[in-house]
Amino acid sequence: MSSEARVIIDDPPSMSLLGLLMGSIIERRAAQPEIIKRIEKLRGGLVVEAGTMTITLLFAEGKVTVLRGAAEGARARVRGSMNALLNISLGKGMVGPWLSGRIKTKGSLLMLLRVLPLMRA
Amino acid sequence: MTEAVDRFTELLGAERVITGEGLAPYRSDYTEEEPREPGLAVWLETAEEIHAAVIIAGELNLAVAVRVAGSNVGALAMPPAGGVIFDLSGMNRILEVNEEDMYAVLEPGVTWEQLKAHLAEQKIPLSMGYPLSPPDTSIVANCLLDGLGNLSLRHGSMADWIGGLEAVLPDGRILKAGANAASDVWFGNGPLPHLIGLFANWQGTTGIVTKLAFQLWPTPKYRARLFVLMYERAGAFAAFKRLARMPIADDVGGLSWVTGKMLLDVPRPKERDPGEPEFFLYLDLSGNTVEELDLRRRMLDELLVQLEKEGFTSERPFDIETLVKLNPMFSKFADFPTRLEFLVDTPGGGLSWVGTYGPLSRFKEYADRGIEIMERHGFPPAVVSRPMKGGHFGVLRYLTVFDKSDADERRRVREMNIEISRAGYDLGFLTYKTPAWAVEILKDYIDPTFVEVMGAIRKQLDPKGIMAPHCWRFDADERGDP
Repeated sequence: MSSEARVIIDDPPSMSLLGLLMGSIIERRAAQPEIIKRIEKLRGGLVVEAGTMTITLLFAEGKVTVLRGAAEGARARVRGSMNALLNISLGKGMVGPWLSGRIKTKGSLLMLLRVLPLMRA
Repeated sequence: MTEAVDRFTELLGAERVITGEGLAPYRSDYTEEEPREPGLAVWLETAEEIHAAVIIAGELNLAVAVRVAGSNVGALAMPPAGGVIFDLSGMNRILEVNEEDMYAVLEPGVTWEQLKAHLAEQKIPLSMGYPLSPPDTSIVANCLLDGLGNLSLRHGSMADWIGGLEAVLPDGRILKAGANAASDVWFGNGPLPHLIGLFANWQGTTGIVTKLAFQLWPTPKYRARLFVLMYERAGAFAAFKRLARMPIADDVGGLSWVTGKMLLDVPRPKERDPGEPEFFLYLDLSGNTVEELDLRRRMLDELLVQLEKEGFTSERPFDIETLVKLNPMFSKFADFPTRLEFLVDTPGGGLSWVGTYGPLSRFKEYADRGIEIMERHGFPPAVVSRPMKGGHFGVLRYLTVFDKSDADERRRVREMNIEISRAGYDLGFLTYKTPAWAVEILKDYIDPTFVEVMGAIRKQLDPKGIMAPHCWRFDADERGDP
């Protein structure tokens, strides 16, 4: 399966900047076989809130769908400023911001830890 | 037309006289303007050839339009049907770079990328202000049409960057305008009557500029390009006003959410997520020492904190290197000049705009109106703006990408642009690089004596009315486009 098919942005003309950016980061990551394996193992949704933007990364059948807003029944949630979340994408680590309260999480920490490497630019 | 072809062939040789299907690239531009059929195009390479060609055009009463890259988005480089196009793209010599007095004397075909490469190759420690137009477009044309660039916050629009010029008048005489009329250094308008103004913003109606001194600036040692996401346009414009008055940035630009999404491969964004930032600002900071740059950066941080206290929410600045790591598409903004494919190389091929200069005090009001008009006409509100000349005025542009092959869409774009222009004129904004259709509207606003004097100057210089007769056509009986 090609990497393009791994990431689906739901209705791109209406997607927020956060969703487009996250989608593009994951799409580039999904060119690597180990990331593809990781995506294939993931199930359920992760809600990402950056600033006042909210998206959901929904994992199913080896694909990631980026949705606008918070999908119901999501297994985990991560929240912070756009800068704090994008710093995670830049590989600056999550523990420090999490301990200092700049990043807040809810739900399955395990899922979050599995998804975070996908979001690394 | 046969006589014209014969006369120009005699002057230039057949290979530099273009007719028939060879005219295809000259028939249209990016905009919704209907294609026009020029009579012929001639490829001119020297001032002497321009001089001779102008005389031929005058004798044959041919309408003349000058063209370089052909990327103007106001149909200005398209002559009335049957006219002759003077293609100056081959006239592209950099005649002089005066490092000490900081200017370069250029021919009309010199492009942004060409001068940049020349300065780099010659290790000349000077830089220039770049517009957002493609790298292969003409510096001289942009100066004469009073465009703007990334040094406009400090130095104003590009007509102010002209240090002198030489032009062929419609009767074939050659005029020097600027200090160079009496000095061997092209240092500005000089303490002489400002005759450079006879060519700046006249859209080729008063003559053809063959040499122009383009002012250059010292290159600071340290630079940073930063992006700030502002959640509301009111915050962006409040930031403009403060930044224009403070020694923080060399350049400040504001782009609406639409352009950000277009950059991320969404050709026609549909709606804004209510939670997402409405504008992103880009800022160029510089310093001759690391400390100076750091100080400016701290001043910016403090300003954003202050704006936050006033209710204008933003994200902390990102530098361009960070954004490029997040998405390589952002490299389009890393270095100028740049080709913004999401605007100029779209599947439908159409790009139109209303570009205005006006007072910062009314930016918010005009942006509110312009955005409402664009949304009502069914186009995403792509707005690009910038404070200029220390905040004395600024640019507010409304861009539209469309399908040129769709006649209905072309019509809708034109109707929308007319409405946006009128809204701008109502608020005291003025279009720049003003296309003929906007001149029609401007008639309702402009001082009649201004028009009268403008017409008298034009008549004096070009009694036959051959130079760009489709441009600045205020009088109904003037010769114009079909």
